[in-house]
Amino acid sequence: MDIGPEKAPYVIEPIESPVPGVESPAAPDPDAVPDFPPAPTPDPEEVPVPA
Amino acid sequence: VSVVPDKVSPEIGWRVWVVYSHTSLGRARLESLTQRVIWQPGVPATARCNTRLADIWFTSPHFPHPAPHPRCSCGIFASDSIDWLFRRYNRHLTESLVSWAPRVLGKVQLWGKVVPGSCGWRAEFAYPVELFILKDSRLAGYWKRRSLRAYGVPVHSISDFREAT
Repeated sequence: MDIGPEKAPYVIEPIESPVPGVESPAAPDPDAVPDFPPAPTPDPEEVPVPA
Repeated sequence: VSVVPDKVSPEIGWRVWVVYSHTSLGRARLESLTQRVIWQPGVPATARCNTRLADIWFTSPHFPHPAPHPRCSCGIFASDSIDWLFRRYNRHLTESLVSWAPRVLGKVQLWGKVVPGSCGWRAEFAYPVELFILKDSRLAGYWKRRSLRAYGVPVHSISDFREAT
């Protein structure tokens, strides 16, 4: 198929899914708190040994 | 790497498909006129470069590449004018061919990476918006019409493809 002389490409990202019955991927919630594992707590009994 | 979109509204173009009864699928499905690519219901058609190796050697040094590539001829094509489509694909829309392997005319939405031309687009993704079939073609059979309804878009039976305008 010939579409004639071409110009620079661009990107289209639809807000709503063009496919009926299919939802677009949900946008990330900016207020969501990331569920990171708790940081390890240092053992108070452990004394660092100098090399 | 995320790409900031230039637009949020898909382009709307015109296309012609052929409909085959895929016995393995048990249903009729839209298929590209020029490529052995089936458009599945509920799934966006996704462009892949099927350019022949000989063509790639001379025209597209960046193979393999995501489609559509500006220096290749890959992508999902659609025309911005139904008149242009009739001029270009008139042979494919005549009744003799239509009765043998039913043609479907339709509007498609195009999105993702899009290469615009003076009379249409090459796009990364596409999905039908509206389909038109001829009343007196074999496609007008009940079960095939019903299969096309799996695409979830309006399917119109018309006497002549030009009524779609």
